[in-house]
Amino acid sequence: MARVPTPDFRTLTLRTAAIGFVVLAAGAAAALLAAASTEDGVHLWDVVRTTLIFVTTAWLAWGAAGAFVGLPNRRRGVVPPPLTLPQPPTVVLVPICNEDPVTTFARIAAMDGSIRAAGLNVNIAILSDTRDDLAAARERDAFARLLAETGGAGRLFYRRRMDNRGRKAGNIEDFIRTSGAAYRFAVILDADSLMEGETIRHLIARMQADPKLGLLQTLPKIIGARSLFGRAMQFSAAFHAPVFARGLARMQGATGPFWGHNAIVRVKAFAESCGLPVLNGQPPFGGHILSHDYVEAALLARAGWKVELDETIEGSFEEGPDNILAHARRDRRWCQGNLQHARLLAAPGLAPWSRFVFVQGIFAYVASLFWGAFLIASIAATVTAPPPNYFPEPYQLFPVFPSDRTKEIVTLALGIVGLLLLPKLSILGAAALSDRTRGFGGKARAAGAVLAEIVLSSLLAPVMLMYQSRAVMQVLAGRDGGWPANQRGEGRLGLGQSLVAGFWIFAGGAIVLAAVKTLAPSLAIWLLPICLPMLAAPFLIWASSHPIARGLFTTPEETDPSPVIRSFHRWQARLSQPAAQPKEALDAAA
Amino acid sequence: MSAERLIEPEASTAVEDMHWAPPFAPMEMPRQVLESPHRAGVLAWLTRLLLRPVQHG
Repeated sequence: MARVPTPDFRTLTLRTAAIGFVVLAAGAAAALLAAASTEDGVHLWDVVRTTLIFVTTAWLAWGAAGAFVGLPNRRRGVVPPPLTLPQPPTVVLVPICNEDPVTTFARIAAMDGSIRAAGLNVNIAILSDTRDDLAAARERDAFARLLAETGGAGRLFYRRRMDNRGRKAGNIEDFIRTSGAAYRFAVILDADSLMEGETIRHLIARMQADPKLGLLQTLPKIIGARSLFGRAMQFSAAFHAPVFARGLARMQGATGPFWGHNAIVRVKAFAESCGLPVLNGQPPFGGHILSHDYVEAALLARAGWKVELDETIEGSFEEGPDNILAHARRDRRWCQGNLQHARLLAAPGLAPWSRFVFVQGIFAYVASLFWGAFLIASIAATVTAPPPNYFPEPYQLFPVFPSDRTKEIVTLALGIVGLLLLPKLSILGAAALSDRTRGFGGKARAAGAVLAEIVLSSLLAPVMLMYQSRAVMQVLAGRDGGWPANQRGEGRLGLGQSLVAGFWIFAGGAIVLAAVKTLAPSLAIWLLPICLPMLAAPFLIWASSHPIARGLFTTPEETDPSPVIRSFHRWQARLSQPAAQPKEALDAAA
Repeated sequence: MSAERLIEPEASTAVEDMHWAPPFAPMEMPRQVLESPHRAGVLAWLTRLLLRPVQHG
């Protein structure tokens, strides 16, 4: 293969424009704050907070730039390539670890049916990393029943690893080392993924049509959410994410991204490029690579393979966390994985943009600390500011009042709020113009949902910021978070549980508010949007975990579920009943 | 109903059979080099320097 793919002119132009926008926005924010804060002379804390506002605004502007780049739709009328026969041998990989086998295998049964309905001959391999023997026994029984009820012997496979080395990446690697030569393509899923057979057919055809394509990532839609928090995320993933993802795809070009699941890989490319080493030293920075997907995308690009994201591919689904605690638990793992990428910034031969993606991933978490540091620096700057000097000149007759800088501060605040809101409002506007709102209950309901999502995410942002800050501090302090098993479907939280989980955030908010009220009362009003949600953290954690009616945050997958989703529900109901045949008969059939 | 209530692991009878396993068709998957301080120069040195106290902490 050729070496790292070089970005085309369009990709380079978009990257340059996005970076230019970021520098302009961050520079304007820093200039406004500098103008407002250096009225009484330049002090150390002014320099610190001006630098911090530059960095934090740059991060916000980068997110907004992604959305703006993604706003224009893709070129219409591009005919998808047809599947060329004979169909290349393909396998769907489903790595699992301590999952509920009834739900997981119901997904497998639904996908198996959908694959056959699409006229494909594709195997599905369940790769179990389950450690608990009782859970493994349940998996075996459920698989025996799955084979018996689908007649899937010879196309559905199950194997359990005794050694969990490398976790999910190690699980996939183990499969490739043992069985990789049997397949040309592998669709990598998560335990909670669901994919239409027609989608898999399309993915195979795309890989056939472009021999340099090493990996094609889909944008999975979140399904099955019930709580306020989960449904807001589900709506956001369906409504906003396609635009952000299109922006990401345009800027990353042929270097990614890969999100670890709901993607197809060329097995040969993956095998020759993605054997991950164990990093020197102990976790959290050493040991196995946690966020392996970003690294695998970078390694494929390093070997000259194209890694592409196509957000327009339909029929790809996953489930999301249904409450803030489950989200924070997952985020802790991602945080450690992304910070670990600091070790890989200098890896030899990577595409410059792959390194930049690592930096972005690190910054996604470190930004929380920068925001916290900005607040502290602002308080310190106010507390340590010298008192106004009304008579700077000797023998001055009339006092000189410091000029009012409220205008600059208000402009800065509006600019930051604009960077947060404008992308979402632009997406709403574009969706209304293109009639994309129809699947979301029409223009009015989509607009209501966007506004509700903005309110909810604004309330939850300080709580998330605290969880992220804690995660970063834990990793920097050398604490390994491990890889806790996903607790899917845990849903509604009790008030006591929420109080225990959110009390430290409440206490933090109370301390900050009390300190500001005492030391810098003029800042108190600016900090209320952060401190009030912190004070309400236990309530927000509890309330947002409760199920809500389907009227709010409607998505197209709810109003008109994909056939594979319907089939999954039927299989789930069927497998949730005791088997019609005696167990021994099922085992014999399996 | 979850598997926990539906399937009694103590009464489990299913045993992994030979045909449950995916086909045996081994493929090489060479380990990739990601840390090469000599080639990476200043950036690798700086990364190591910054992360050293953290790892020992």
